[in-house]
Amino acid sequence: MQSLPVSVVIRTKNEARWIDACLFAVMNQDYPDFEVILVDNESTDATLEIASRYDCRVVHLSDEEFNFSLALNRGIEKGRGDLVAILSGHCVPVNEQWLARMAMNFDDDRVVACYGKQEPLPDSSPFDKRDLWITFGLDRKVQKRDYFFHNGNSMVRRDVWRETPFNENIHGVEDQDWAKKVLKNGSRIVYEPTASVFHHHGIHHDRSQARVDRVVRVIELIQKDRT
Amino acid sequence: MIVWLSEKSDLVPEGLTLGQLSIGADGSASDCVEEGCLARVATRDEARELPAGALALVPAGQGANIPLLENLAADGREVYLTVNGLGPKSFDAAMQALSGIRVTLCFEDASSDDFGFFRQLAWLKARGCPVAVSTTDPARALAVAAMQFDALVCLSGVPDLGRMGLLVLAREKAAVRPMGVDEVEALAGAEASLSVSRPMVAGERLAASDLAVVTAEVRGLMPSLASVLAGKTLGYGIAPGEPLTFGHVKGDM
Repeated sequence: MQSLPVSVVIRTKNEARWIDACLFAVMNQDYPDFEVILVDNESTDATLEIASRYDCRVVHLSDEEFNFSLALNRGIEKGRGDLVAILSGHCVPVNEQWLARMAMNFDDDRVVACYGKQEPLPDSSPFDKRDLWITFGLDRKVQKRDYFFHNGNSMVRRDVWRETPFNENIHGVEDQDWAKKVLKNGSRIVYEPTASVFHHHGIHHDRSQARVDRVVRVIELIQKDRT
Repeated sequence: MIVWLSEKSDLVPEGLTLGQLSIGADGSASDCVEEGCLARVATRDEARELPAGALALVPAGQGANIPLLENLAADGREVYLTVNGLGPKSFDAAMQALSGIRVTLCFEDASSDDFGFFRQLAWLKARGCPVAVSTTDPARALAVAAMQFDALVCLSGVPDLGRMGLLVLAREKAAVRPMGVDEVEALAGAEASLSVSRPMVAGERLAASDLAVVTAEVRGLMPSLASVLAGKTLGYGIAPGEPLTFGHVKGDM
């Protein structure tokens, strides 16, 4: 597989605790051609000051206009890579192979997207550890109908995103909404366990009731194709 | 690498050149009108009709047609000589007739087994002159691209040009080694990784002497990152033998 250029798009909102480790890990990837774009939603902590020490471009998004999908779409459109890696600002790639092992799956033309493993850290809550360990297994999976997909740690083809950008009419779970749409034409999504990141608070953010209510509402809409 | 196509294609991947192949509706070269076209030429009449600047493809079975070859050589025309059916003596005679002009040896693949095909490729490669292969098999077309042959002749259909382009680039821009899923999966549990030489706790600063190399599962950091990690503060404790990851390294804030 020729290494296609990658745009790494990182979403942040007050990520001072993690962004240094995140950017340090990203910048030390063993991959020949990538750029980093940070989409920041009015961080009031040291996120932007830390980011300024790294070779990355920053796209600013105000609270008024913020939407998870819009943040991604804005960041992706600023980049040039044929592939777009999407990472949360509080996720830290486990090793220097993260980008390469995500990108190697695009050797197959049918693969439109890939998402990687997420692991807890030693001080993640037991709820988050349990959920991450249950959700992200050790074996690689090729999904033809299953639209589970997670933008905490993912990669998409730019040309597919151009045809189907992330849905700005929903607030969150834009990953699964997008995945369901792009899988309809025989495409495939790969789960790649060796493209792993640490995600301290997990995919369910401990036990946030407000978050789970919002996620369930959106998923129900996705299931009914009403997004 | 040049890919001769009888059908038009708009896709021209980096590393490939697409050429127009004229095999003629009636087997003649009369509809070959473009300079640089590769046209099938089986008779001396067809050779005379060939426009200036066109290349001649001598088809299988005509390699022993010495008068035809001499005619093409007299024109100074570049020739693709299909070697199918040529024995050692007739091959030598053909090459003698074409001496002084640029000759590309062309093998028209009709092999039912892979070994027969690859044995032909090995023989062609040893001849020391440009080599073209004609095949309709997608996997064999990719082999031609990967093995640095000069041309692929597609008498019908269009091969997977996108993948062929990637193979040619992988060869020509050798700076980046391609990595495959199967290869990575086969490495599970067998990769060199950084670790530490003594038990360390959160808050300690990594010195170069604290770092050690172990064989570990795939998630550890490669040893060449040692110089980057020396001086960094640990956010989490780590024991000797445990793979060191970016997650162990604490941000500076």
